Amino acid sequence: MTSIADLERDTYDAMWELPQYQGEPSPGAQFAPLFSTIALPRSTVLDAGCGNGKGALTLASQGFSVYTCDISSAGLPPIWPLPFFQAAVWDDLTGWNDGTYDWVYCCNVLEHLPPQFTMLAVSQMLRIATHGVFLTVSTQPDGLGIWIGKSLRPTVQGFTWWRDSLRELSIVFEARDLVGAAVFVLEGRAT
Amino acid sequence: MSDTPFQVFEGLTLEASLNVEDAQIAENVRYAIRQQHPQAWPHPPQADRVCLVGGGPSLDDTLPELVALLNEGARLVTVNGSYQWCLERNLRPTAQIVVDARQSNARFLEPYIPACRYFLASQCHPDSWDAVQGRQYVAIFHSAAPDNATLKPILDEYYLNTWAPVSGGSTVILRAISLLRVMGYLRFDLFGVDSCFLGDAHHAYPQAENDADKRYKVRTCPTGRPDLARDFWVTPWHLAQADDFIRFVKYEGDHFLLNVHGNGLLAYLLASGAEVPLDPST
Repeated sequence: MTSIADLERDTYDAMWELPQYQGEPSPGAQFAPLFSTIALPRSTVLDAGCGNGKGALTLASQGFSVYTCDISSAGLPPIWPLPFFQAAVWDDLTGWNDGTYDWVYCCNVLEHLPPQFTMLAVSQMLRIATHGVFLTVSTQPDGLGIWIGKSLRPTVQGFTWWRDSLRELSIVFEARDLVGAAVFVLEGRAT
Repeated sequence: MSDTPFQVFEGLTLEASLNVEDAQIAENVRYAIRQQHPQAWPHPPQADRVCLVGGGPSLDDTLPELVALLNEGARLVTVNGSYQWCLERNLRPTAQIVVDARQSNARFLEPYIPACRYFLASQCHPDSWDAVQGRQYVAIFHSAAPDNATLKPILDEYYLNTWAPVSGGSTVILRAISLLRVMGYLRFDLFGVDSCFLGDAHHAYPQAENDADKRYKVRTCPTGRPDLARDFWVTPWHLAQADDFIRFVKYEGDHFLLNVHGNGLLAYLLASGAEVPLDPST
């Protein structure tokens, strides 16, 4: 029997074959300057759902110690210089670094998850983050899934839905409605 | 807010200015944007009719018209003290809008009505934001032109350039129309928006801040129709508000339908096409 995670991996293996998807702007790179105003220099960071890795490389260039994971490695360059493990973000994410990180950095990933896994994924991130979890989500439908005949964002919700759901899991230090996107900073739970 | 002084009468000029210093407004905005509320943002056109209720003295007279429209399904939107005025008459606002940056305006946010939407300008005082803390539906909007020198740098930095300006008009009613228009509403019925005294009343409810305002009698009529002339008792701020309102309607009037209820100066000006009176008749 094929698991939901296997289906998700097949989806993104297929998407990363498409030039249109490869050419999309990287939210991870876009939000790195904001993250660097929040996290201390040289913090350890897990980029959860690193995609094509541009966000992780941007963080590394800013002096963070970056680890990466994603359900698919198909978006990464053939030679990838940062530690990587393959996992769905709702899995146990203790793959490297003694299982904890100062920060988990997760940009525009949660809306791509099946709805039933979104808050489980956040819980997994909170478990391994000592300082906090930096999340961004898109609140708009995607336009590229049509190329493979499915929606890539099964969890398109508004700002208040995300804010209120996240408040059930942790202290939300920061919640910015960027209209079409949102940024959240949560207190980590790992000790 | 217009920077142009408004000639009220010969020898009397009213210069519009903010009632709170820029530095205080900037401080208020910095506090407000960190309260984790969603931003009001442009929506597609909405078919609903909106009864927008101000605090003018015609409210009591037009209450039956207001109730009739609400019974037909119109949405009730209040500003400042009209929120409590409506609640005292068992009318539940769909939304309450507060723009003013002064601390005293926090009083316009009590009591809490579940399911009411509270729209606060980012310039509102921290006490106003504290008053709506934990309420179900609260949204922030930015009562500023896109190039506002005080707010733009703060909002650009925090929202990464994604914020929607709500501009136009110097009074809460005009800003409320702009906000509701941004949110897709097109059809407005205005109540309690008079821009004049009716009898001795400047508001439909006590508002001590205006009790000592000096009153003037003015006469106005449509061009060439002195037989339709009417007299109104006003303060200079009434006339400034009326002038601002008429200019707003002339400039933005193609973007909404407006029906001003009551027997005040504004309703007369809009119905008759008369000019804002600039000469005191006494």
